[in-house]
Amino acid sequence: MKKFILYSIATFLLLLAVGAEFIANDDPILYEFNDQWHCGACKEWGSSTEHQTPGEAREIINPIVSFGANTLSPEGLYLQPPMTEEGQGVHWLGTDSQSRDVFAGLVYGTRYALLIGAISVLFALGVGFFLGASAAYYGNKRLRRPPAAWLSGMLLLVILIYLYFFHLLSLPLILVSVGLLLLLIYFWPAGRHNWSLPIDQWVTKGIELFDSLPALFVLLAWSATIDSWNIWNLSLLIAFFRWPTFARLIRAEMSRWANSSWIQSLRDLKMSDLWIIRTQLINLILVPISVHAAFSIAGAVSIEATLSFLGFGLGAEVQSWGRLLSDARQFFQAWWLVVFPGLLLVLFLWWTNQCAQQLQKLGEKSTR
Amino acid sequence: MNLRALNKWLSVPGSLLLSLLFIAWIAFFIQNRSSQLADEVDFSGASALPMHQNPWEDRQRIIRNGKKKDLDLPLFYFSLRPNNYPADYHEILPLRERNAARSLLEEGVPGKHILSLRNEISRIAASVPQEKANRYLKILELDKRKDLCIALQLVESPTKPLQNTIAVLCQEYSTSYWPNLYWHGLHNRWHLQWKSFFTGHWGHSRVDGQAVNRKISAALPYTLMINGASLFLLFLTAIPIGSWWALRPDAFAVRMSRQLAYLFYVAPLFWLAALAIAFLTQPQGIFPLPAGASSDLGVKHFALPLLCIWISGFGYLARLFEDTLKAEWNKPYITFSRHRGLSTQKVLLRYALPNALLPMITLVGAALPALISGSLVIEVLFNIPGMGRLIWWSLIAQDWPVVIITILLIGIFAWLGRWGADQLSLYLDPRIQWSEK
Repeated sequence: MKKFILYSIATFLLLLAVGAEFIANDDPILYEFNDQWHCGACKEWGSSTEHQTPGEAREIINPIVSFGANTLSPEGLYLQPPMTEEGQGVHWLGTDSQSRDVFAGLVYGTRYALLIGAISVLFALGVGFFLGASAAYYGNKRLRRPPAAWLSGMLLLVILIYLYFFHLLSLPLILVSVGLLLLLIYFWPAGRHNWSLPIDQWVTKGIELFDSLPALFVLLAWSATIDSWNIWNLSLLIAFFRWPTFARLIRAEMSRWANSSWIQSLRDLKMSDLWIIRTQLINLILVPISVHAAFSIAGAVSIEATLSFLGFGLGAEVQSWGRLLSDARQFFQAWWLVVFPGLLLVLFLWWTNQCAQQLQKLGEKSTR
Repeated sequence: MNLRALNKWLSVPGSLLLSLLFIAWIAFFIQNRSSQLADEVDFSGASALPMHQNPWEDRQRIIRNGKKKDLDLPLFYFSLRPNNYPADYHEILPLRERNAARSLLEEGVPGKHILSLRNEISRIAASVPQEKANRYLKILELDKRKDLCIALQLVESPTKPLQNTIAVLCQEYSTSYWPNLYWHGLHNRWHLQWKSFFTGHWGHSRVDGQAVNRKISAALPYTLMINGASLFLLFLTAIPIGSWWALRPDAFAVRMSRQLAYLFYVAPLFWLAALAIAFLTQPQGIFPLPAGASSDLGVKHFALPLLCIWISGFGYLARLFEDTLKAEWNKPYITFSRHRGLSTQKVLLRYALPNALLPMITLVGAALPALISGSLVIEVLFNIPGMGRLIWWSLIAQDWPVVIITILLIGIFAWLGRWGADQLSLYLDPRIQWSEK
């Protein structure tokens, strides 16, 4: 029963996010004009050439709500309570301070919430996995390379930073070269005389440093300096403050296995490090990672909502849930601006938390 | 040789220093980014002249403002730049023109030509009528060498040095890759900023000119009061209720209250607060509306914020305590004491609680920075003039001196809280030291 509820909420959210244009739109989904059928809702999807739905068109299928996310009410109905009627249709959940429909805002906000949650968690997971796994696998003594490897790597890194800083090499090329640099260090064979990199202690130290940062305040201050916002830099900013949790978890989970006799014997058989991590170690930590990722999506979404609520974050034209709620900061008698976006937000947070718990149970069953 | 020697140096005495340095670096980075936003805006309020009345004087004013904010100083003790950059590149103001100069330099144009061009153009612009001067000064904001070359052809009656510069600028250049190291000495922004921080000169607000430490000391009592009270309330309620949950897990009331607390824990604090304001304040509810001005602020205004903080933090704390107590309750010494015939009450109070309370110390330590940073959302929503609202207002008004100092203070307190909690729990339970080795 619980599984059924969780699956249906997932379907509901995905439908809202993917089909937002077909649910809330000021153009009809399908209309007839000059004996030809046109798709009005497909305009945002970039598949159609027309830009304006002609007034005399015969509408065939209308969306559920005849307002888009940024449709301003033609009659200037600001802050109207739910079920206000208008020429175009009914504002089921009322309007916000700029006379936009709240229901449409919620539908489009789902898309932003899912995207920001997913992207920031992917970034944080990527960085956290790289650092946490290498810290756990190599420990303090096992990453042994000749001095020449470390010195040339350091030099190349400084050069790359220099080239990036003065725009002498484009960003994709820089990223590719950093990848090549890592491969160079990885494939450099250990010689007779080696230096070991205490990567475990360095990563632990880095996590500790991020712990001492007052994250919300730094996030707010940083976001105040960014003048053009999009989903990507917002997600990156959130991920910047969330990778340490992933790194800590992955390091803790993996170091339980990295020194086991099983992995030690694989190492003695001269299996490559990447192969051991990819085929053996990842399977052992998949459950805790996915549980934490699910929790983390909830965290990222609520951070975004808090940012938007406080007036930072994505611009005013982006209808995220937090943006809708932030209207309530000034007009706190408009209860519909508080209740509905908040309910959807809490539903989402509850859903991700429950999914995480279900994953945990699933993992416990499979390892038993 | 082992690179772990470096690590020893990093970890033992320098933990606080390193955290501070990191926060300082992040704060400096943010502040540096912020100065790029609008260097022409003067925050003192006195000289809010309309722009573009006299472009020459406007530009001079912007440069004066920039110098007042130390924007013409180098960022750090040294800099590593391509060798066509002029040594005094950091002195180019306004920042818009510096950015333009930078993209010209990235095209490979030698720095000395750019500097002489700037001198000549600004000298000419000072002596011609306003409209023309405006046009000439716009030339300095061009960031493509080709555009610059075309624009310079249109300057009427160029001086002799300008003619030379035009001829040089219209040539092709190849990008310069070779770096040059410049040493700037102690008179740089990083050094001056932290020198003034550690000597107690925290500067003045850009909005109202008030001293930063005065602003902070005005805001701190409110935050200390509200957060101290809520922390006290949280621990006072979470510990008995958490033990009730742990000892009677199957009771109906326990299951219901756990679910309810969990729901409040999942809901974001700002939503709970907004709901409380929408439904529990005066027209419908019993609580007073948020105070309009800080002079109206009375004791009754703190009731609802306290309730909000308590209800959102309670679920987490009580569940955590429940878990630790349950783990403690299943240990053999508890079973033994109960078999000896001690009452549940005595076992709980004498044996289980002290042990289960130890992990709570870490939580108190983690809450210490919140004690001075305050609950941002709550203070903003309920209009309480504490630290949270101070930071929020300063961010909105781009009042960076206040923001940076408060972030640093919170960072220091966060470190102190964690360190203090570690030391305290080590003192109270020496077994921890053994298990870590």
